[in-house]
Amino acid sequence: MPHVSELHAQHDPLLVASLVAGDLAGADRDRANAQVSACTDCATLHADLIAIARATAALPPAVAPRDFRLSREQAEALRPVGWRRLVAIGGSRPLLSRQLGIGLATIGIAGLLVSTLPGIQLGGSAAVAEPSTREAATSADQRSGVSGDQVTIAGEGVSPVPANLGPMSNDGSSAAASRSAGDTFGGAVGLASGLQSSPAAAAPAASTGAFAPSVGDAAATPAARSLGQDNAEPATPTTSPAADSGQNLLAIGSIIALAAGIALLAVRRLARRPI
Amino acid sequence: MLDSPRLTIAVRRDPLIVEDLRSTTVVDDPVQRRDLILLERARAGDLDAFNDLVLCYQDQLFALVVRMVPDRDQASDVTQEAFFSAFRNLAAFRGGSVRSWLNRIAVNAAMDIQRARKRRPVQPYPELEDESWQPPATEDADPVHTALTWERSKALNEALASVTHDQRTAIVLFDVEGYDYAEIASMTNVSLGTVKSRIHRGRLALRDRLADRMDLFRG
Repeated sequence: MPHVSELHAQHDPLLVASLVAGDLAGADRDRANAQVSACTDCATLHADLIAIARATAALPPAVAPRDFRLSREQAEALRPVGWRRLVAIGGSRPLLSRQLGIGLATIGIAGLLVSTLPGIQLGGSAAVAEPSTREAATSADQRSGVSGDQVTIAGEGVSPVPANLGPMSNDGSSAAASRSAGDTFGGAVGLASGLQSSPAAAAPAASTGAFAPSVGDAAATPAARSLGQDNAEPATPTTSPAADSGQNLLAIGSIIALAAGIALLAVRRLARRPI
Repeated sequence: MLDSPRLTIAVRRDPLIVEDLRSTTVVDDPVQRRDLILLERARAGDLDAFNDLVLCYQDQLFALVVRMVPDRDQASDVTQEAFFSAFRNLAAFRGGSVRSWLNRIAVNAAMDIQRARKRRPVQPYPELEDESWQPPATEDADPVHTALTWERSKALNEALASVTHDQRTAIVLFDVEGYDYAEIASMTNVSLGTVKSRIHRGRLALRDRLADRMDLFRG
């Protein structure tokens, strides 16, 4: 290793390398030339880099160890014919089928992940679900001929429960739920909002003798669970049938895309004959 | 190669074929013109024309690849794969230099094998003991000069094999193959500045590796 002076240690060797390659102009080139002129080590580096570049360019060419010409069989194997031509979508660009296959598979996997993630609703968010649930409750109510005193939520699994069950809950949440349901025919969202009401708010509902809903519906489960409990649990988002069907559709579409992508990649691999 | 009967026929073909290649520039270079004619015939299904191209470029392509993939067996496979790829993608050629097109395919194939090599390291550089690295000696050649050239080549090949793959590729394409920065940037899919940096740093790395043998190169 050549002796490196303290002065040279402060110099930038890349500047010298750039000068050798002819990549410098103006002030940079002047600075590099001054550096090479003033510093012996930089001058040696400069000369060495030039010598190495010359020697690299003069390296004797390697001779091919064998003949790389294609035989008829190899050429036939490389040319897509018959159904293999179909796989080579894009004619001379079989890569397109690969990209398409990978893309479909990726979309499929992403879609499956999205459709199985909890809390993601497709086709109707909680805000959207509320009116539809109300409508269902209203229509079910009308069908069953129940008014005011009797509430049906989401049309299923509902049985009337006397409001005097309300005081069993210390915080009056069941009474609040009955009020919410009785006044607004509220669905799950209405029940959830009722959970937040104060004990004082339970009094009017209890005094009306209204029936509090006993909910067997999954949509109202949080509210049902809260009945008789000391502390109200936070309500979880509800899913509407539209959201369920949206998720199902997404899942089915994703599975189809994934299967198509994998199939395309598999067929493409099969189409590549051994050479 | 230019004397082969097949090639004579190819050269005598209607020159309008060259215009079919979507090239807007007139091809004056006879070698390039010959390549374009052969390529057009190969596109039409003439395997012999493609094999003529292979004969023209197999040594040059192997010489390029063997410096990027310093394992002769792998370099041989990469070269063969590059010709396979070229044959598969004949229709994808969009004019220009056939040599550059083939080199680009070979560089990509070599880069692929280098990436795979990083994942699965193999016995490094057995080719350094290979006799074919020696320059051809003639009867009237000075034995001292021949020995010196051989020593220099061996040292340089060893040093080249020890720098990073990216630096080696850039140096081989720039110093050995004579491509300019823009062409190398296009071939290796990196920016112009990256190419320059790889060449500069690569040369400095070579100099470090050759520090105790620089006498071979000086004077």
